[in-house]
Amino acid sequence: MEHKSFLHIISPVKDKMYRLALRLLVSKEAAEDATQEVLLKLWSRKEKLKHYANIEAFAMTVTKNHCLDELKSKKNNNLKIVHQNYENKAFSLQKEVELNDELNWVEKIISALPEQQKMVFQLRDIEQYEFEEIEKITGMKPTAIRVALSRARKQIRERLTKKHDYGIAKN
Amino acid sequence: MELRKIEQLIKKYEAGETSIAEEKALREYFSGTTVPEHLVAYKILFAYTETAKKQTYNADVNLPKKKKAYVWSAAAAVIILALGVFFYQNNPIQMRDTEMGNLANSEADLEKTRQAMQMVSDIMKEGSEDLLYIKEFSNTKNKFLLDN
Repeated sequence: MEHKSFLHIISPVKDKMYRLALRLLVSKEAAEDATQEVLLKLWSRKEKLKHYANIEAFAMTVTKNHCLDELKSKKNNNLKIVHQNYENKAFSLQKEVELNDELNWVEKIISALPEQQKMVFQLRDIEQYEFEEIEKITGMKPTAIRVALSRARKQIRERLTKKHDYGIAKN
Repeated sequence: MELRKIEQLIKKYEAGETSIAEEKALREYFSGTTVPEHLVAYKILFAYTETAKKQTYNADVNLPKKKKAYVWSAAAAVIILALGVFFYQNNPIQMRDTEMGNLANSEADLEKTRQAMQMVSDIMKEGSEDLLYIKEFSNTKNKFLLDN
């Protein structure tokens, strides 16, 4: 497989890979590094890549595994990822809706969720994958996916309602 | 969409049981401007999922180019080898031709060669005469050794 055809296959997926890495690793630099490394991994296995029916799901699985490994090794080194250094430029575009603050809340609430819930929420509510695809990517069972998703959604909604009410009471 | 229907969908959504199509309907509803007070949290939630999807991976994709470099260096090696073999095989033949021509030329050449050889042999003889001094040297040495 040549560079061009590889890039052609991978370019629609690479943003999704990056967003998943960003969700799990929180810092932008770490997510970019992880994405680059996963792309290299896929490139080195490019001959096998042709035989996968669903290359996108495979790429996402490799990304997920890589990020979880990264988190594990960071925890072993007693290093915690500080999420204050994470600045999201995409939000500034959203000023006209005046939701800027609220969107940052969501970001923080999600970053406090367990890894599995983060992952499932990312894949379903942001990337809008079907449940079968999420099964393939995460290797989780359908019921486990639904439970994790339900917990994540409820948690985000509850925290948001609390914050929102608090904000109104303060005014 | 009716508020009651939306509330039903939200229940399903929180249980993790909505389909992609139903979630799309929710997303569309909450992208509207007016939303009842008790549903504001969902408006924020869905707005977030929309913006989060807009993030892109902007860094360059760097792939190694090892394979191509190998092909080129292999090609270069083959060319160098071919040139080497070509020149090696051509040159000796040319040299032999010229040498043969000179040797077969005349008797005078043979005579000159003989003279040159003679000169070398004369010089060698002169050198070996000088070696006689070494004999004298060993005579002196023996004198001392035998005395002791």
